[in-house]
Amino acid sequence: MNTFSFRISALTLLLAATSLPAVAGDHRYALDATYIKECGACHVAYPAALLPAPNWATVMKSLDRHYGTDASLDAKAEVAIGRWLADNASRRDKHAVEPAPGQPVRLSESPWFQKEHRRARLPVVGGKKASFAQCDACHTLAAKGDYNEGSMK
Amino acid sequence: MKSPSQSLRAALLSLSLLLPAATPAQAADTPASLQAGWLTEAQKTEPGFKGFSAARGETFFRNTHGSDWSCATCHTANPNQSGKHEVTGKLIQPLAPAANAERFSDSAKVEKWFRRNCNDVLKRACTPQEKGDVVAWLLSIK
Repeated sequence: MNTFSFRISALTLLLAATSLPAVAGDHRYALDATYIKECGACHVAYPAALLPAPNWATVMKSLDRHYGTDASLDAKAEVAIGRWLADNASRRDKHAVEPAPGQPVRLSESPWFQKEHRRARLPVVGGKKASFAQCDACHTLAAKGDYNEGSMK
Repeated sequence: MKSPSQSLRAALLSLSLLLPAATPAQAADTPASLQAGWLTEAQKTEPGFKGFSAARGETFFRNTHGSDWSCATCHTANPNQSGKHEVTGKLIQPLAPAANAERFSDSAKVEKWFRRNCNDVLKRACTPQEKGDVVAWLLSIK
Protein backbone atom coordinates (compact mmCIF):
# COMPACT_ATOMS: atom_id res chain seq x y z
CA MET A 1 0.00 0.00 0.00
CA ASN A 2 1.45 3.37 -0.90
CA THR A 3 1.48 6.25 1.58
CA PHE A 4 -1.37 8.07 -0.11
CA SER A 5 -3.86 5.20 -0.01
CA PHE A 6 -2.79 4.43 3.56
CA ARG A 7 -3.63 8.01 4.52
CA ILE A 8 -7.02 7.74 2.86
CA SER A 9 -7.84 4.49 4.69
CA ALA A 10 -6.72 5.93 8.01
CA LEU A 11 -8.88 9.00 7.40
CA THR A 12 -11.89 6.86 6.48
CA LEU A 13 -11.46 4.79 9.63
CA LEU A 14 -11.13 7.90 11.75
CA LEU A 15 -14.25 9.45 10.23
CA ALA A 16 -16.20 6.23 10.72
CA ALA A 17 -15.12 6.02 14.34
CA THR A 18 -16.03 9.60 15.20
CA SER A 19 -19.32 9.76 13.33
CA LEU A 20 -20.88 6.53 14.63
CA PRO A 21 -24.34 7.16 15.99
CA ALA A 22 -25.19 6.02 19.50
CA VAL A 23 -26.54 2.48 19.27
CA ALA A 24 -28.05 0.25 21.91
CA GLY A 25 -25.42 -1.78 23.67
CA ASP A 26 -22.54 0.68 23.44
CA HIS A 27 -23.54 2.31 26.74
CA ARG A 28 -23.72 5.83 25.32
CA TYR A 29 -26.86 7.85 26.09
CA ALA A 30 -28.09 11.20 24.77
CA LEU A 31 -28.77 13.83 27.47
CA ASP A 32 -31.09 16.82 27.31
CA ALA A 33 -29.46 20.24 27.80
CA THR A 34 -31.95 21.44 30.46
CA TYR A 35 -31.62 18.11 32.26
CA ILE A 36 -27.81 18.46 32.35
CA LYS A 37 -28.03 22.08 33.51
CA GLU A 38 -30.52 21.52 36.32
CA CYS A 39 -29.94 17.94 37.52
CA GLY A 40 -26.30 17.70 36.49
CA ALA A 41 -25.49 20.71 38.71
CA CYS A 42 -25.48 18.45 41.78
CA HIS A 43 -24.89 14.93 40.49
CA VAL A 44 -24.17 12.95 37.34
CA ALA A 45 -27.09 13.44 34.93
CA TYR A 46 -28.18 9.80 34.96
CA PRO A 47 -29.36 8.34 31.63
CA ALA A 48 -33.16 8.48 31.27
CA ALA A 49 -33.08 5.04 29.63
CA LEU A 50 -31.95 3.32 32.84
CA LEU A 51 -35.28 3.72 34.71
CA PRO A 52 -38.87 3.21 33.54
CA ALA A 53 -41.24 6.20 33.31
CA PRO A 54 -43.21 5.40 36.52
CA ASN A 55 -39.96 5.42 38.54
CA TRP A 56 -38.92 8.77 37.03
CA ALA A 57 -42.38 10.17 37.78
CA THR A 58 -41.94 9.23 41.46
CA VAL A 59 -38.58 11.05 41.56
CA MET A 60 -40.04 14.15 39.89
CA LYS A 61 -43.00 14.27 42.31
CA SER A 62 -40.84 14.87 45.37
CA LEU A 63 -38.01 17.15 44.19
CA ASP A 64 -38.34 19.29 47.33
CA ARG A 65 -37.26 16.17 49.31
CA HIS A 66 -34.68 14.70 46.95
CA TYR A 67 -32.29 12.24 48.68
CA GLY A 68 -31.88 14.54 51.67
CA THR A 69 -31.87 17.90 49.91
CA ASP A 70 -34.31 20.35 48.34
CA ALA A 71 -33.86 20.11 44.56
CA SER A 72 -37.10 21.91 43.61
CA LEU A 73 -37.27 23.45 40.13
CA ASP A 74 -39.30 26.25 38.60
CA ALA A 75 -42.50 24.98 36.95
CA LYS A 76 -41.21 25.36 33.39
CA ALA A 77 -38.03 23.35 33.95
CA GLU A 78 -39.91 20.71 35.95
CA VAL A 79 -42.40 20.11 33.12
CA ALA A 80 -39.68 20.03 30.45
CA ILE A 81 -37.44 17.63 32.35
CA GLY A 82 -40.36 15.41 33.40
CA ARG A 83 -41.45 15.11 29.79
CA TRP A 84 -37.94 14.37 28.51
CA LEU A 85 -37.42 11.66 31.15
CA ALA A 86 -40.79 10.04 30.32
CA ASP A 87 -40.11 10.16 26.57
CA ASN A 88 -36.67 8.57 26.93
CA ALA A 89 -37.37 6.18 29.81
CA SER A 90 -36.70 2.45 29.72
CA ARG A 91 -39.50 0.08 28.76
CA ARG A 92 -37.81 -2.97 30.25
CA ASP A 93 -38.62 -4.70 33.52
CA LYS A 94 -34.96 -5.25 34.29
CA HIS A 95 -34.55 -1.48 34.81
CA ALA A 96 -37.52 -1.13 37.18
CA VAL A 97 -37.06 -0.62 40.91
CA GLU A 98 -39.59 -1.18 43.67
CA PRO A 99 -38.43 0.75 46.74
CA ALA A 100 -39.56 -0.32 50.20
CA PRO A 101 -42.25 1.95 51.69
CA GLY A 102 -40.80 5.36 52.56
CA GLN A 103 -37.58 4.66 50.63
CA PRO A 104 -36.56 6.67 47.56
CA VAL A 105 -36.15 5.31 44.03
CA ARG A 106 -32.57 4.24 43.45
CA LEU A 107 -31.49 3.34 39.92
CA SER A 108 -28.64 1.32 41.46
CA GLU A 109 -31.18 -1.17 42.88
CA SER A 110 -32.54 -2.37 39.54
CA PRO A 111 -31.86 -6.01 38.55
CA TRP A 112 -29.93 -4.76 35.52
CA PHE A 113 -27.70 -2.44 37.56
CA GLN A 114 -27.00 -5.07 40.20
CA LYS A 115 -26.01 -7.63 37.58
CA GLU A 116 -23.78 -5.20 35.64
CA HIS A 117 -22.01 -4.07 38.82
CA ARG A 118 -21.80 -7.37 40.71
CA ARG A 119 -18.01 -7.34 40.53
CA ALA A 120 -17.55 -3.57 40.89
CA ARG A 121 -15.22 -2.32 43.61
CA LEU A 122 -16.12 1.18 44.73
CA PRO A 123 -13.07 3.46 44.82
CA VAL A 124 -12.25 6.12 47.42
CA VAL A 125 -12.94 9.65 46.14
CA GLY A 126 -11.70 12.62 48.17
CA GLY A 127 -11.13 10.51 51.27
CA LYS A 128 -14.59 8.92 51.16
CA LYS A 129 -15.70 5.62 49.66
CA ALA A 130 -17.71 6.44 46.55
CA SER A 131 -21.34 5.37 46.29
CA PHE A 132 -22.99 3.83 43.26
CA ALA A 133 -24.65 7.24 42.71
CA GLN A 134 -21.23 8.66 41.78
CA CYS A 135 -20.97 7.06 38.34
CA ASP A 136 -18.03 9.29 37.43
CA ALA A 137 -15.87 7.69 40.11
CA CYS A 138 -15.26 4.92 37.54
CA HIS A 139 -17.05 6.00 34.33
CA THR A 140 -14.88 9.02 33.55
CA LEU A 141 -17.22 10.34 30.82
CA ALA A 142 -20.47 9.76 32.73
CA ALA A 143 -21.25 13.49 32.74
CA LYS A 144 -21.58 13.22 28.94
CA GLY A 145 -23.73 10.08 29.10
CA ASP A 146 -20.82 7.88 27.98
CA TYR A 147 -20.56 4.64 29.98
CA ASN A 148 -18.59 2.72 27.37
CA GLU A 149 -16.01 0.42 28.93
CA GLY A 150 -13.28 2.18 26.98
CA SER A 151 -13.71 5.28 29.16
CA MET A 152 -13.49 3.46 32.49
CA LYS A 153 -10.81 4.17 35.06
CA MET B 1 -31.95 66.20 3.26
CA LYS B 2 -33.50 62.78 3.98
CA SER B 3 -37.20 62.24 3.44
CA PRO B 4 -39.24 61.16 6.49
CA SER B 5 -39.50 57.60 5.11
CA GLN B 6 -35.72 57.44 4.66
CA SER B 7 -35.16 58.58 8.22
CA LEU B 8 -37.66 56.01 9.43
CA ARG B 9 -35.90 53.29 7.48
CA ALA B 10 -32.55 54.36 8.86
CA ALA B 11 -33.96 54.36 12.38
CA LEU B 12 -35.47 50.88 11.93
CA LEU B 13 -32.22 49.59 10.49
CA SER B 14 -30.18 50.85 13.41
CA LEU B 15 -32.77 49.37 15.78
CA SER B 16 -32.58 45.99 14.05
CA LEU B 17 -28.79 46.12 14.30
CA LEU B 18 -29.02 46.81 18.01
CA LEU B 19 -31.64 44.23 18.95
CA PRO B 20 -29.88 40.92 18.20
CA ALA B 21 -26.86 42.05 20.18
CA ALA B 22 -28.93 43.31 23.09
CA THR B 23 -31.25 40.29 23.50
CA PRO B 24 -28.84 37.46 24.46
CA ALA B 25 -27.07 39.61 27.04
CA GLN B 26 -30.19 40.10 29.21
CA ALA B 27 -29.91 38.87 32.88
CA ALA B 28 -27.01 41.18 33.74
CA ASP B 29 -27.58 41.25 37.47
CA THR B 30 -24.83 42.20 39.89
CA PRO B 31 -24.41 41.53 43.62
CA ALA B 32 -25.23 45.21 44.17
CA SER B 33 -28.40 45.16 42.07
CA LEU B 34 -29.60 42.03 43.90
CA GLN B 35 -28.88 43.68 47.26
CA ALA B 36 -30.85 46.76 46.17
CA GLY B 37 -33.86 44.53 45.55
CA TRP B 38 -33.53 42.79 48.93
CA LEU B 39 -33.10 46.17 50.66
CA THR B 40 -36.43 47.39 49.24
CA GLU B 41 -38.11 44.16 50.41
CA ALA B 42 -36.52 44.35 53.87
CA GLN B 43 -37.67 47.94 54.30
CA LYS B 44 -41.25 46.92 53.55
CA THR B 45 -41.37 44.63 56.60
CA GLU B 46 -39.05 46.81 58.74
CA PRO B 47 -39.42 50.49 57.77
CA GLY B 48 -36.39 51.59 59.82
CA PHE B 49 -34.02 49.00 58.28
CA LYS B 50 -30.70 50.69 57.66
CA GLY B 51 -28.70 48.26 55.56
CA PHE B 52 -26.90 44.94 55.36
CA SER B 53 -24.10 43.83 57.65
CA ALA B 54 -21.13 41.72 56.58
CA ALA B 55 -20.54 40.68 60.23
CA ARG B 56 -24.13 39.41 60.55
CA GLY B 57 -23.72 37.66 57.20
CA GLU B 58 -20.59 35.80 58.33
CA THR B 59 -22.25 34.60 61.55
CA PHE B 60 -25.26 33.44 59.55
CA PHE B 61 -23.03 31.62 57.03
CA ARG B 62 -21.15 29.65 59.72
CA ASN B 63 -24.17 28.87 61.94
CA THR B 64 -25.80 25.43 61.72
CA HIS B 65 -29.13 26.99 62.81
CA GLY B 66 -29.97 24.10 65.12
CA SER B 67 -29.52 21.38 62.49
CA ASP B 68 -26.67 19.43 60.87
CA TRP B 69 -25.59 21.71 58.07
CA SER B 70 -24.38 25.29 57.73
CA CYS B 71 -23.73 27.13 54.47
CA ALA B 72 -20.05 26.35 55.10
CA THR B 73 -20.70 22.58 55.10
CA CYS B 74 -20.77 22.57 51.29
CA HIS B 75 -19.32 26.01 50.43
CA THR B 76 -16.38 25.52 52.90
CA ALA B 77 -15.35 27.92 55.67
CA ASN B 78 -13.42 29.91 53.06
CA PRO B 79 -15.77 30.91 50.20
CA ASN B 80 -12.75 31.73 48.02
CA GLN B 81 -12.23 27.99 47.72
CA SER B 82 -14.13 25.29 45.85
CA GLY B 83 -16.46 23.15 47.92
CA LYS B 84 -18.04 19.74 47.56
CA HIS B 85 -21.67 18.68 47.64
CA GLU B 86 -22.09 16.96 51.02
CA VAL B 87 -24.09 14.07 49.56
CA THR B 88 -22.88 13.58 45.98
CA GLY B 89 -19.31 14.87 46.30
CA LYS B 90 -19.78 17.03 43.18
CA LEU B 91 -17.44 20.04 42.89
CA ILE B 92 -18.97 23.39 43.87
CA GLN B 93 -17.23 26.44 42.43
CA PRO B 94 -16.18 29.19 44.90
CA LEU B 95 -19.03 31.34 46.24
CA ALA B 96 -17.16 34.61 46.76
CA PRO B 97 -17.39 36.94 43.73
CA ALA B 98 -13.67 37.78 44.17
CA ALA B 99 -12.84 34.16 43.27
CA ASN B 100 -15.73 33.48 40.88
CA ALA B 101 -17.10 36.37 38.83
CA GLU B 102 -20.17 34.37 37.74
CA ARG B 103 -21.61 34.41 41.26
CA PHE B 104 -24.63 36.65 41.88
CA SER B 105 -24.95 37.64 38.21
CA ASP B 106 -28.30 35.93 37.52
CA SER B 107 -31.23 36.71 39.80
CA ALA B 108 -33.24 33.59 38.89
CA LYS B 109 -30.30 31.31 39.66
CA VAL B 110 -29.53 33.11 42.92
CA GLU B 111 -33.13 32.89 44.15
CA LYS B 112 -33.38 29.23 43.11
CA TRP B 113 -30.33 28.27 45.17
CA PHE B 114 -31.33 30.39 48.19
CA ARG B 115 -34.74 28.68 48.09
CA ARG B 116 -33.25 25.17 48.04
CA ASN B 117 -30.30 25.69 50.33
CA CYS B 118 -32.13 27.74 52.98
CA ASN B 119 -34.70 24.96 53.10
CA ASP B 120 -31.90 22.40 53.58
CA VAL B 121 -30.00 24.35 56.23
CA LEU B 122 -32.74 26.33 58.07
CA LYS B 123 -35.89 24.35 57.15
CA ARG B 124 -37.42 27.63 55.99
CA ALA B 125 -36.92 30.39 53.39
CA CYS B 126 -34.25 33.01 54.05
CA THR B 127 -35.39 36.59 54.62
CA PRO B 128 -34.29 39.39 52.28
CA GLN B 129 -32.11 40.70 55.12
CA GLU B 130 -30.33 37.35 55.54
CA LYS B 131 -29.63 37.14 51.81
CA GLY B 132 -28.32 40.73 51.72
CA ASP B 133 -26.14 40.15 54.81
CA VAL B 134 -24.53 37.00 53.39
CA VAL B 135 -23.79 38.72 50.08
CA ALA B 136 -22.36 41.74 51.98
CA TRP B 137 -19.96 39.37 53.75
CA LEU B 138 -19.07 37.48 50.54
CA LEU B 139 -18.31 40.80 48.83
CA SER B 140 -15.98 41.81 51.70
CA ILE B 141 -13.80 38.72 51.07
CA LYS B 142 -10.89 39.59 48.80
